[in-house]
Amino acid sequence: MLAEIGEVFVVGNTAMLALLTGHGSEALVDPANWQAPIDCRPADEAAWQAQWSMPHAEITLPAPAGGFVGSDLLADMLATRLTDGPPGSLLLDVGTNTEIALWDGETVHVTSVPGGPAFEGVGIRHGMPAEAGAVYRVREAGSGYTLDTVGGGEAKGFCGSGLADAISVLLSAGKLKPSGRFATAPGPDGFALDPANFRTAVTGIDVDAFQRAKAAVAAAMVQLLREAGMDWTGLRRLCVCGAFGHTLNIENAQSVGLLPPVDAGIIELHADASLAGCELGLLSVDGSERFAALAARVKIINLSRAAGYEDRYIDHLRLRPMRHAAADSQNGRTHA
Amino acid sequence: MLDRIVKAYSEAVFETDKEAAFDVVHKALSDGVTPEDIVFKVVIPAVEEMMSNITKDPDANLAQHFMTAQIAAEVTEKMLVKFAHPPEIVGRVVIGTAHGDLHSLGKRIVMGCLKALMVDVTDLGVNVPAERFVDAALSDGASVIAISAMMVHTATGENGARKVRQILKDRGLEERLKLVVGGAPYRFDNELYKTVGADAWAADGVNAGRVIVELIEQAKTA
Repeated sequence: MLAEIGEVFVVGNTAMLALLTGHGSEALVDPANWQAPIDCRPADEAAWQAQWSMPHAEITLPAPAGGFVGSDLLADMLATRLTDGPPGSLLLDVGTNTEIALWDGETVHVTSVPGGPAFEGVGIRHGMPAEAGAVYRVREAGSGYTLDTVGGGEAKGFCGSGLADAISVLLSAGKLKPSGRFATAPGPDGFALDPANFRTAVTGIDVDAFQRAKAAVAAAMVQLLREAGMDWTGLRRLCVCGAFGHTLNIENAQSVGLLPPVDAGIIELHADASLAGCELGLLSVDGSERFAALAARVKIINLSRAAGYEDRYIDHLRLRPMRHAAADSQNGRTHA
Repeated sequence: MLDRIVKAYSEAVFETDKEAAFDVVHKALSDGVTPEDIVFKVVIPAVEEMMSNITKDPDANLAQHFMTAQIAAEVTEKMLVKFAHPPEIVGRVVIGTAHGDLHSLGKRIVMGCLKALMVDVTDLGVNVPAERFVDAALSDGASVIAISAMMVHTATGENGARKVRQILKDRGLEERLKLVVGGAPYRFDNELYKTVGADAWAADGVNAGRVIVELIEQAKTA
């Protein structure tokens, strides 16, 4: 069976590629390399390929974009045709390592932030991946809430979009305050959206984790826009990929400041974009070249060295819609 | 009137509402309250209250720590330039993240609180070599070196706090310069600060303010 496979195309973030090939992890630990290409090719290509037990397969592993930004983001860009679109196209691949790309017509400004395991359900009391039983959507219904779960069964916990919805709904009901505190402290077990099911509870610690994750992502988007000399008003496309690509409620995400207050019409949800890009790479005769061409247009920005990023991060911690002031002020501080 | 201002300001800080906090400050200034009174009678008591609350309050979260420290630092910075006479500085500190470590936010909270407590802080940034900590402390006349490390290998590594301690020892500076550390690894192992040669550590950014002020006093009497 394995012997019948003729071609394999591998994309992933840099850390995963380094683990897969056993090469590149030392380079990745050194901050000096975080804006530079990381060589993740196996040291002994023939020996490495032999381990796959696919004697007839050509295994292609396009180089990651650089630093922690992997070839998965290049695949996203390929699948969404980011660089074919208008200047002001922003791509957000939300996950544990959230990667962001902004196409300004000439350059793809790219960065990565710890978007936080929060978005993938890790570190959240009742967090879980978008699997059967995960609450993926929350709506107010009279005095209670309607919880939609993957597969329709009993709620077992929240995936990323469900948590974003829950926090947005609790905020608009006044049960959560913009600071992230509950108006009435629910105690360590949290506030259960369905009082009969403890797995529907959101705790103060969950809200905190969500705030820090969404602030990192929001501040990174603002920073990239500044690097390109733009602000929200210049956005023509916003492609949301990754963990939120299926079911994110855009209005709710905007209400808590996870997505910018742009016209919902320019926001596109792309589920499994990096897989789609990987398939394009596999199926085209010039897959490697297409990845390399995209990588050549990428400029990586290391936010830990970007002036004003910390101020922006702190400014975006509150649960409220993003404001233009945060994007426009000189050093990220909104002066009163 | 000051009581009312303190109450309104503390409420805004508790709600992490920077705009509201600044509204209170601007209103107080236009009502004739001096910038000195705003710092010493409004901002500093609010920081101290926050310090005592954080250790007691199970609901206090990290996002709020960041925001409250930021508000305190910004208000203090804006008031300091309006002071009739330069304020009396409690002491000087140099701060940075350990060699190889680019996690800057913990340091950020500490700096916010120190500024509000009238401690002069020099930020050496991230990924700071050991020699630079010592050289900067000497040239700035600082009495405390504060090193933040968020990863085990930067907290315990040879080029972080350990090396700073060695330099202090070699150059006979241990009486004059105190060394304080902070960051996640020190929370997991509360004795780790001793292993890496530090004089003290603090569990969170806000308490670090208190610990550092104590170290400044120790260095003065040493």
